[in-house]
Amino acid sequence: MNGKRPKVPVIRLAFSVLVVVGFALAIYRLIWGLGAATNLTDAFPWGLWIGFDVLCGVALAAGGFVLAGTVHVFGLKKFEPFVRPAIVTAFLGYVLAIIGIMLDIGRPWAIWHPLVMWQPRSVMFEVAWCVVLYTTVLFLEFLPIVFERFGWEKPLQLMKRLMIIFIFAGIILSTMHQSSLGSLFVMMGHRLHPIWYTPLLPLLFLISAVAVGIAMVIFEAMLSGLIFGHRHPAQLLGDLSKGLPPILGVYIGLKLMDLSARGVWPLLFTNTLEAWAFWIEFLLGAVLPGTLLLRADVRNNRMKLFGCSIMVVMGVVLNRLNVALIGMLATSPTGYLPSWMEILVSAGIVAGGLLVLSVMNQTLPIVEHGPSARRLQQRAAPHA
Amino acid sequence: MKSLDRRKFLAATAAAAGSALASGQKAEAREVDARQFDRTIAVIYDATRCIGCRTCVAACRKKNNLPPDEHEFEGVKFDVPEELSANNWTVLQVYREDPKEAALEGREPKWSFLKRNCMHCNVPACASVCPVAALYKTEEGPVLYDETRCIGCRYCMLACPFQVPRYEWLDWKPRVRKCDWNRACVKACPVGALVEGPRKEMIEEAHRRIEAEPDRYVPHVYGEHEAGGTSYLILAGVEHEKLDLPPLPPTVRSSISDPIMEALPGWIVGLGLALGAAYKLTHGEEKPDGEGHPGASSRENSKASEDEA
Ligand code: SF4
Ligand code: SF4
Repeated sequence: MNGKRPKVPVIRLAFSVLVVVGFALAIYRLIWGLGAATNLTDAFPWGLWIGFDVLCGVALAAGGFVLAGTVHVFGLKKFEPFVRPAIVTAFLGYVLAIIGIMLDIGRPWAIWHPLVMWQPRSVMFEVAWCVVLYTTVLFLEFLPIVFERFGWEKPLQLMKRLMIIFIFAGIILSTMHQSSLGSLFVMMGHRLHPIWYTPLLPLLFLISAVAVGIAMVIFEAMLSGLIFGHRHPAQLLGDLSKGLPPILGVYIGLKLMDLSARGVWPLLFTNTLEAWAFWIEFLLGAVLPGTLLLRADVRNNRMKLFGCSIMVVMGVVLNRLNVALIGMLATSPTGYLPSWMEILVSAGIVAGGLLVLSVMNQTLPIVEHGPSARRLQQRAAPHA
Repeated sequence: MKSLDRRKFLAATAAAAGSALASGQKAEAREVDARQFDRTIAVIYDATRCIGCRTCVAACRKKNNLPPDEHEFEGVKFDVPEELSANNWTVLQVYREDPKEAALEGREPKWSFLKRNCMHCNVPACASVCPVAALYKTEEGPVLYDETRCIGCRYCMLACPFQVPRYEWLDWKPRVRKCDWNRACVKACPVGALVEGPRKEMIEEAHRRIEAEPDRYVPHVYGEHEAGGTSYLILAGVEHEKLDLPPLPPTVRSSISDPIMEALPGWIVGLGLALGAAYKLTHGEEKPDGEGHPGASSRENSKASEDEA
């Protein structure tokens, strides 16, 4: 363990550099326009920032509502230790997605317009409202952590009493937001490849978000465990992963139904980029981890579980990129590959998020609540 | 007096509720009644009359103060816009059939001009997806854009089935750009390939032309029904599909996403009830005495023992 510690500052330094570079490029984009910084064209108006920063960022933040619901609504209290990290990640994820949106929309100073200039028929209107409301709710869910850190008992008590309301609101808003990102694309039947274009997109986005929410919580716990030392028994994470096979099962079933109902099977057996991208997403991202996690020896082995969570995360990331980017290529005469500036800005945003997360992990009571957990950690420390 | 009002009110409410509940009617409500657009301004573009002179394109430039889109031909620059863009609100395209294909059928290859611009849909997809109503349909017919509302999400560009809206990519304060239907082009056309009038009359005129000269036209008025109908009507001697005009069903584009948006209140209520029920079932009964719930008590015990340790 000691040998690993010095790596943390090095990584932090590297991430800081990425943040600075990303920031500079973001300014460049704001001054010279989207066309100067990105490879977007009239024939390909949405690129990496929507496909990755926004769609993936929001999907990967789903752990917040999934865990809050599992523990506080469905009463599976043993997963309580994962709720706070999930909420913090979700909050950060949303802040990062908002930064991505601010850079991607042409007129970021007008971002508040949907709040006062209504057009409730538009899915984008719903998306805008969900982003604002859910980020607020996440902030409220996050506040107690800060209060606890500074020992502000009174507001803490108040927040605790109101918490269940926030949790309900957060779950409802999350389901709306996750699905609405899919709904955005149901108006693009003339652009999106038939493998992905389906009226079921909102439902598929929602279910895959629930799956990736769980996978992200496991992934993060494992990752921070590898870097800072494990805090949770392998069994607990294994139990959490039991949620994945049924959810992935429903997802797989729906997707199969959808493919048959729309008669696109022949397209899947062609040697095209789209077909390959689909099979990788579907087999490696859903079918394989869903099947592997049925076995107790996979669930209860840290590294195997880690591998499965990575597969699910990558599967959902690829799915979002397929819908937003790869599935749009065939209908676009110009094609699209993100510019190096787009990639570096996205990397800077992610690096910034990870930096903040690692600082918060050290300064705020995220991983452990009360004294009990801290003592547990002390007990674990000499062992490590 | 009062009671009458009340009764009237109740009757009206019942009728409204009844009609909303009758799902058949609801579905019908999603179909547009094209008659409501009978008096909007429409334009016929008759590709068989068009001589390809691009006077319309030049008139559009002048009227809207748009810079030329110059291409060089043997050292001389000409303003020949080929694709719609932020500065090209209308373009004149040429279609030539593959001569080999025509030779197979033993005839001359077909060709046609096409003046492309915003179709000014009856129920525009661009306006239905815009989160801030920056794009909107006016009563007179034109679909207009208000840059003071736009946030620049570019959803309109992706949703328009004719791929019309274009963007000012190299501007720090970019706008969506497209034809604003001022019809400078119509007035400029030297051969009457463009004519304007109320939509109903224009559709009748278009059908009259097809009937009068069935050999000249393919028997279809593009825009009469496409995507719920448009104000730009295209007559051509070549199948419209070959001119790259997408074959579209007569359904309004927003009828794809409207049901999703309209289902939201139900989802909120349903999920709220389900969550409430789950919460009640898992939390409601354990409060009075902690022992009733084995899971809860054992957890409490273990926590206590941890704290003591
Ligand atoms: S053609 Fe496109 S931009 Fe023009 S009104 Fe119709 S949907 Fe809007
Ligand atoms: S880019 Fe502007 S006009 Fe187009 S949908 Fe977004 S807000 Fe509306």
